[in-house]
Amino acid sequence: MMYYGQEIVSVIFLDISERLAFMFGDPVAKDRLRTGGARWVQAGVTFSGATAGCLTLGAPKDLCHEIAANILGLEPEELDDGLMAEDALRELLNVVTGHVVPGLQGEDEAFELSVPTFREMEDGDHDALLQDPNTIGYELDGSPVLLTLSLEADVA
Amino acid sequence: MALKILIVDDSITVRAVLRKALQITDLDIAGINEATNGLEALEVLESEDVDIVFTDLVMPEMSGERMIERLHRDGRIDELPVIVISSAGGTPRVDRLRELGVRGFVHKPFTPEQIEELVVEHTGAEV
Repeated sequence: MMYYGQEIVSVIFLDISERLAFMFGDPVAKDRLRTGGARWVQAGVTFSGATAGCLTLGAPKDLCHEIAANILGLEPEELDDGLMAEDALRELLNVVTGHVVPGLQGEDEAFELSVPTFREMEDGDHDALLQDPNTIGYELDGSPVLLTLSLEADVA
Repeated sequence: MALKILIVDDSITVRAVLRKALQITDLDIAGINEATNGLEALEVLESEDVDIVFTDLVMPEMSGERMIERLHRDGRIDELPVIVISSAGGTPRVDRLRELGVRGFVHKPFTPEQIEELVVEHTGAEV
């Protein structure tokens, strides 16, 4: 079952992933996601306006290389270093958030986005995300990702 | 006329994609400069001739919006086409940017065709 806003987030995330990174995905029940055995990273963007909150995207580090390569039209091994992969995950989330916020609050409301953040996930972070009802699980080109929409109380 | 273009974005990914998009168009491009925030962009504009600027809005150090306000205050935006490419937006913000002299607004993700159309429209370049 999806909570308020998650249907919007879900449609937009899959659409932007396809248009920006040429990657295809589907929502997957979180208990069916294979999240173990890889190093994970997470990007985050906060937003404020008539609706305020935060959107985060967690993914295996290897998937970030694929996202970057796809966006740039390169092979993953052609990327210079991890910085491009890190930046690509931040940018994917940035673009998704830029479409999610008007989807939640309407096109006629102004909103602000933060500069996207990036961090390495730690042991235990997966479990917290998997148990968070705000988190939706996906498989993106066969890799698991976790997208979390956290809304603050109505600030309008 | 070969064009000189300035790309302003803190994302190395966006700068690379935009550069690539410009290079695969039929536009005659003399050079592409890059800046990672508004402050760097203003420094480039002090020392280089630029025909059109593509800028993000949300950037550290100096946002695209502050840079646009500066160009508006200096009267420079009347002569220099500035196109915003951003995820941030909302109709009121876009309206305000247009009042400041911004010529175009592209909501990411963009296509090379969109970019080429904007350059042709706002520089008079031929393809």
